[in-house]
Amino acid sequence: MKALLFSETPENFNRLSSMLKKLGLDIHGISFSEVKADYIYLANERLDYPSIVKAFEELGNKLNPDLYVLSSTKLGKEVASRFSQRTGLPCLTECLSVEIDGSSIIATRYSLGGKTLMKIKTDLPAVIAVVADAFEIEDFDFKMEKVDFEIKEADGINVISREEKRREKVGLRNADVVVCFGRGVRRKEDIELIEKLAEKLNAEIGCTRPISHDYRWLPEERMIGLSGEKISPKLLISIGVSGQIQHAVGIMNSKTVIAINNDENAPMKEYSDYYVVADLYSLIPELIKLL
Amino acid sequence: MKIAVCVKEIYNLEQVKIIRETREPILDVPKKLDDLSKNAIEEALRIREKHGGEVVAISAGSKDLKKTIKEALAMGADRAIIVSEDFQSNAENTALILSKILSKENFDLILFGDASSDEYSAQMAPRVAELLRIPQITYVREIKEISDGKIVCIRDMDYYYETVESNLPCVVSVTNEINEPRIPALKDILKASKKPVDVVSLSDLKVELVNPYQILENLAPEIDRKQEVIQGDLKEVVKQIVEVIRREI
Repeated sequence: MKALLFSETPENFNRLSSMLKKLGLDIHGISFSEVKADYIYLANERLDYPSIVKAFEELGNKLNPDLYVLSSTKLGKEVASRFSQRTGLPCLTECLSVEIDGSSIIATRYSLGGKTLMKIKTDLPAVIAVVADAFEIEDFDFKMEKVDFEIKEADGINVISREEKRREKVGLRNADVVVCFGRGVRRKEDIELIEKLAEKLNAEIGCTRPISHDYRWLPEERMIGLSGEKISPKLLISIGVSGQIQHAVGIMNSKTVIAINNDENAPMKEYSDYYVVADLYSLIPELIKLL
Repeated sequence: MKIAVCVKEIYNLEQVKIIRETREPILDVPKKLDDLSKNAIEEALRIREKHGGEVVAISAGSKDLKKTIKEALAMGADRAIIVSEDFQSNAENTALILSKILSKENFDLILFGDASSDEYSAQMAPRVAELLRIPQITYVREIKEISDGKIVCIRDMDYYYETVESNLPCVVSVTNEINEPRIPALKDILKASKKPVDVVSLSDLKVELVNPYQILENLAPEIDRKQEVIQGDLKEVVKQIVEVIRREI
C-alpha cells in the first residue's frame, strides 16, 4: 500500500513518515527540505492551499495512493478538507492514531469537545490529517529516492505577506514538573508569583487558552489543551484553572495533579488528585517560602 | 454587502455527563449555538454596521434547531434559512446542504467559525468553498479591509501570520480571538422571534446524502484521579502540598 504525504515542516513530516512506515506503507512525500521517505518529491516552498491541493491532485492521479496524509496543522486541515471535497474521498482530521484494517482505516480522534475518544472507520482510499506530535521519529530503512518536483501556482487567494511567529523553544512536552495557570491569576504582573514557584520546582510554565490567546500574557506555545500542548509530567500544579474540557485534554497523561482553586466545585476537581481550595494569592507565597 | 453566516448547533458540552460503568456520554442535554459560530455572527454584524447590507444565518441541524437558531437572530442576524430535520450527520452531507442553500442567493461573503467546539474537524468552510467554487480564507484573526469587491484578512496559522487577499464572493472562517460576541439584551431576544426563519426540507433541496463513516465507539477516556480535597488552615494546607510535592519529584 502506498501513502502520499505532505507536511510543511520536516519535523512533522518525519513523525508522520515513521507512523506510516510502521503501518507498512510505501511513502511518497512532498517536502520543501530533506526528509525521511521512500520517494521524496523535493519541492519549491508554497504555503497557499490552492497550489498544494493542486499538487496533491497531480501526484495523486499519477501514483494512486491508498492514503493521502497531512499533518493536522491549520494548513494541513484546510488542504485535507478541500482536497477531499474535490475528489469525493472520505476525510478525517485531528487523528490521534491510525490503523489499517483490510481495505479500510480505523482512526481515533477526540469528540464532544474532548469528552470522548471516537474510533471511526472508513474505506480506502481516504484523506487523513494526523496530529504529528502524537508520534515519535524512528529509524526505518527508507528508500530515500529523490525527485525534483514543482508545486505550480494555482488560482484562489493572493498571499500579501507572511510573518513568522516568534516561537520560543518550550520544553513543556518533556518536562517532569509543570506549573500551569489560568484566569484565576488576575493581572499580568502576578505571573511573577507563578514564575517564582516554577523556579523553585525547576518547572516549565504552561497556561490555558485565554492567557495565551486572549490576553497574550504568554506565547501560544505555552498553551496546554486540545489545540495546544499535551503534557505528561510527573507532577502538574494547576493554579486558578477552571478545568474546561478543552484544557483538560492536554493534562490527561500527567502522573499526579495538584490543583489550586478558590472555587470548591470547579470542573478542575475531577481532573485532580489533590484539589486545594484556597486563595492562590495567599497560598502561593507561603508555598514558595516552604520549598 | 450580503453576508451569510453558517452556524452550528451543538450539545451543551458542559452538561454532558458520562455513565461511569460504560464510559458512554449521556447526550440527553440541551443544545446551543456553538461559541465559534457566535464569533462568526459577531463579525458579520460588525461588517454590516460598517458597510450596510444584510446578515443571513444558515444552518443544518436537528429538530431543535428551530429554537437554537433564535440565538443567532437575537444577536442581530436579519433572517435565517435552516434545515431542521434528522439526517445522517457528517461533513459531506452538511457541506452539501449548506452549499445548496447558499447557491440560491448571491452572497458576497460567507462566514464560518474556524471549527466547531464539539468535533473540531475544521472541514466545513473549505468544503463549502470547494462546492461553490470560490476561494477560502480560513483561521482569520482580523478582517483588515473590504472594498472594491476584495477582502483582505490576517490569518493566524500554526507557525506564522499571513495577510491574504481574495476576490469576493469568498468563504472566510474566523478564530475565537477575532472578537467578543455580543450578548443579546432581553428586547433583542423578544425581537428575534418575529424575524423570518425559512425552514427548507431536504427533499426541496434534492440532496443525495452519503454515509462513508462508521463510528465503532465513542467513549470517555478513564479519568482515574484521587480527587482528594485539601482545605482549611493555610499553614496546614501548605504543609500538605509540600509533602505531596516532595513525594512526587
